[in-house]
Amino acid sequence: MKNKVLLLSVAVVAVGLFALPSALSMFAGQHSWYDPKDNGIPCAKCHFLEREELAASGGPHDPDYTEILNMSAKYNVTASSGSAGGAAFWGGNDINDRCFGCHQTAGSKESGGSVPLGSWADHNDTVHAAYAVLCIDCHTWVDDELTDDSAAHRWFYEDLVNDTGAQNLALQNENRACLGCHTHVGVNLTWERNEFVSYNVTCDGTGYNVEWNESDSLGRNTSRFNSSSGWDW
Amino acid sequence: MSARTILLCFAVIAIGMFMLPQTLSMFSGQHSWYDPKDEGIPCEKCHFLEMAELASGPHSLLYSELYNGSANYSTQGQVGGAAFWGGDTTHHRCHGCHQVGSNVSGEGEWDGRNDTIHAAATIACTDCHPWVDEALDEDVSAHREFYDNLNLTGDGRLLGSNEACIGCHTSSGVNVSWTRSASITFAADKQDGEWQVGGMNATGNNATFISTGG
Repeated sequence: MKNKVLLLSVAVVAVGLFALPSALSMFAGQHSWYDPKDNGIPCAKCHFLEREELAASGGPHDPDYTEILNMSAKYNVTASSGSAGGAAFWGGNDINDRCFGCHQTAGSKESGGSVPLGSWADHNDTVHAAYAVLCIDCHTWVDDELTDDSAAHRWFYEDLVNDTGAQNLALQNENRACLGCHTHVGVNLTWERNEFVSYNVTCDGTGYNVEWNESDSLGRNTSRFNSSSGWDW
Repeated sequence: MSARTILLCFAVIAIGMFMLPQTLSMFSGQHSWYDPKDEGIPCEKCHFLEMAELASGPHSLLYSELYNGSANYSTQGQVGGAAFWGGDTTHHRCHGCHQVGSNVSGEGEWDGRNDTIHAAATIACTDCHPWVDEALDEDVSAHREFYDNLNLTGDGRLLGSNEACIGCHTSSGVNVSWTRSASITFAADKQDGEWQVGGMNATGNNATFISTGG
């Protein structure tokens, strides 16, 4: 009898060795939740790269940056438009607050923006945790500026916004132009330019008529490629 | 740990390898911004060709011959250099031209327009060289029609009279289709012993195309 009990005990322990682990949670801490209110989810836990970039750049969106401030964006209902940066503007003094300041802002671009209008409070049941934001959601005036007839980068911006050839690229069209100039992302660029200006000149004896020849092919200069690390500058 | 649990772990990690990157920013450096004040955006990051071209001739850092005596960037008639361009690098030349106020169209200084045009304006050469507009418009100016005609048209990209300026003043190649009259015709008649010459006309067409590399 004693042997039977002993054998049964060993069997129960042996079965337990296999069965119990499956009944336990898989990861330590799995049942300890962060309080999500007051920006309580630590973005930097995964986004350590973005955190380092924001902390080390010394540029805009860095917590220590105090030079040029966004005078038009209205991030949330408590910060008035044109707040002078800092905690009042971003909702806190930590880099983590910057994450939420951008990625939980409501879109202010009225047409074509990926983020709906209204405050984050209106949409936090629609989009979980964070938006993929457009730069122009906060920097709204830039869209008008870059589409101005006299803007030198009009075609650069508009062509990238309207580019339908790479919609699967995990980057919003509107942001594609912004990154090259405003961030330390490296740029690979191939330029191919016209080789000639071209004129049609006619003289009929009474005067000259000069036209810019738009039908001429204008020739093509050799493609020139350059690859620039964004950290070189 | 059962084989099923191990398999489950691998599955979670494998799914994570595909899903997590999509929540990360796409490019390194994407969250590190240049400070735009004090001309902090590096134009040459993209405009490496223009930077190389600016290495010589007027507007280059080394040029010290002719100075713009009329443009009014900061103080009218500055004799070149940092005081004129706002700095000592080629980079400052970019901003010096493309963020200058347009004094031809009367739109004011850059400070008054940087909320209208982002980063850089397409400028007319005559914005900084305004006297040229009057000089080329003189009745006895040999290039008057060339300048005036091109100043009236546009290709949608080059501004104002730039179409004329570029052909002569830059290293761009030039294609010209010349169509000229082949003959002068006039009637000469001697009546009553006096020669009378009628009005002169030009007839026929003589077309020539030239292409000159810059």
